[in-house]
Amino acid sequence: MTPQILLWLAGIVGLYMAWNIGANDVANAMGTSVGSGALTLRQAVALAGILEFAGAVLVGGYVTDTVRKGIVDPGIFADEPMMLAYGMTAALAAAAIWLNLATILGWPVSTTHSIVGAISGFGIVVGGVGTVSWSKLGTIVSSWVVSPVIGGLTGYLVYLLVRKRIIETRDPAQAARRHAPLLAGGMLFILTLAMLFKGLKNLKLHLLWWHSGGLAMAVAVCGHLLVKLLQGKPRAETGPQAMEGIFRYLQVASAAFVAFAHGANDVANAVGPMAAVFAIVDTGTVVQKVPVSLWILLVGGAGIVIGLATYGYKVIATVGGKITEVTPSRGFAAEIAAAITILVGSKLGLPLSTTHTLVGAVVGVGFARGMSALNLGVIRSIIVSWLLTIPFAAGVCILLFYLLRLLF
Amino acid sequence: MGSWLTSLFARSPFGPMQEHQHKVQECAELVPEVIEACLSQDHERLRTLVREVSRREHEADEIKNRVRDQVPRSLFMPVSRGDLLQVLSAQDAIADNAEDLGVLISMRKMEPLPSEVAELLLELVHKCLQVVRQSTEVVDQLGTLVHTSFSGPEAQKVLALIDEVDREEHAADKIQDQLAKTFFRNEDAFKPAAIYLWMKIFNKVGDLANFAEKMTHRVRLFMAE
Repeated sequence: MTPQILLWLAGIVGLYMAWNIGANDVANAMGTSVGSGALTLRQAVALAGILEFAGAVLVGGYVTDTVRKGIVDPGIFADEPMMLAYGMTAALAAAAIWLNLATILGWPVSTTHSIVGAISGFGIVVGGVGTVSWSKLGTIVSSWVVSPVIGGLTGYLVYLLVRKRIIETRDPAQAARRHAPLLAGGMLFILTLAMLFKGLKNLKLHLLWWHSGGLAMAVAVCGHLLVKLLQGKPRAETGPQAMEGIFRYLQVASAAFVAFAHGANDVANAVGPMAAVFAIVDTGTVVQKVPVSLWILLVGGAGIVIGLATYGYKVIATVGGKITEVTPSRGFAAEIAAAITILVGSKLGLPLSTTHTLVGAVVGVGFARGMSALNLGVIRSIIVSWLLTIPFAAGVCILLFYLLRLLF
Repeated sequence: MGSWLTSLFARSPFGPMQEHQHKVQECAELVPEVIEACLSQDHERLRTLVREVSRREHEADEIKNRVRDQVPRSLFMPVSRGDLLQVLSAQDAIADNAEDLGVLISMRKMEPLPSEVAELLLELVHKCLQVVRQSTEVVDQLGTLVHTSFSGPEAQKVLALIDEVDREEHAADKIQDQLAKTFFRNEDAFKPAAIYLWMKIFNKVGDLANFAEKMTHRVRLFMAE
């Protein structure tokens, strides 16, 4: 078979990977907004689709590591670059199969961990156990504990703050109205920073910390003033129901930002390996970093939107239909806690998973007495799914790698 | 198809707990009619009513079992599982009392009560039923309490409701004392078996309020962090 066929194969598998990202991850972030009645199913799918696509294409990254997260040294493939091209195609397919399985079973599996596990698989069979950067794999293992714990702690603190400053006041609706501009401003500040640090760094803007900080602050102040303006005169409604009405807007905004940030971060898991295969076949050499052309990003963004439209909407409907007890104040607390954790984590260089962090944040809000009933028995099967990710993806990748070598 | 989020969120037991208390109250609502049927010597009606109380008690038990099945040890709630199950037990005891009362009152043909005793008994029954209704109001606030994390002004309102239950239960106790005293002033008019049975019945009526009060005291623990 010709390299041309390999390119087609890589393109299709990349699309399949992007489809999976859209089918599951996104849906969980938007589902709670549907459950709390902040958005209808149609609105949630449309909002998620637009923001994921925008995130993926605008800040998805135009340059990527040849080997995702440098888990395997690409130098070992210098003599036979096509091996790396086969391996990356196999890795994409293996990770996508694992994600597809996880979507069917409803497991919160990290896309990054799947792809990294798959790459380590063919790295081991090509270059031996020594090829894999075990310290990098170690940080991933550590993130199984770190992501949910930090996410949980942040969720606990954020919800406690909402409770003490808003819910426990004499007039929660009034307190929420008073705090809404501040919360919106703070949220915008954090999320702008998150995007500058995690997504936009790929644009090579080389922003100094005070540039980023200043920009984030400017966005925050604009948001603050906008909310103040929109609120207008204080209204008369009081009580917990009116308070939740105000949180509804904040929850929609936080879900929108999670979708945007997710598109920006996770599209790389689909388009990165794809871009690597194209670069290798094109140039016949192996380099440390490869460019990601716009059309590849478009394919990735489109894949996520298709995944959302063909399967993700079902997950949103399921989540939205079953989780009606998560009121907007809780949804806001969990989502904003996940966003804060991701920001701090990426700033400190911790490989935090968005999905794992969200699991922790939900439980954290529960510990602050925010959730009516959490099924902690499920945590065990969630952890098992995390543990299985790397060996499964690696194993499937090895099989597919041999299969590809046989065919080509 | 599943989602980790949907499996992480369990069904809330608070809704079914309210459903249970409503069924319990339906049991208690029949008690005045049971007493009236007995006092007016309408045995046919008494039998029908007692059967109906028993049927409702059974329905309440089914809801109770459903709630218990729904709160496994791995369930994480904003309140302690032990406190929640004790609220449920106290609710259950109210219905059990109503049923027991029906059984006792139809055990033998009861002679008519002197009117001063009968009046006090009906007063006690209505007071106790009022306490049960108030305790249902407290349980009805559980949804709001979950929404406000068992704190803030809504929690204060519920605490005030519980104080009100305390006061009414105390008033019921006083009526029960008076009832017993009045009854024993007329003791010579009764056979020993009747005295024994009436005393048990009075206690069962009073216990409706006692368990309603006990239940609201357990709810109070939800708000003590």
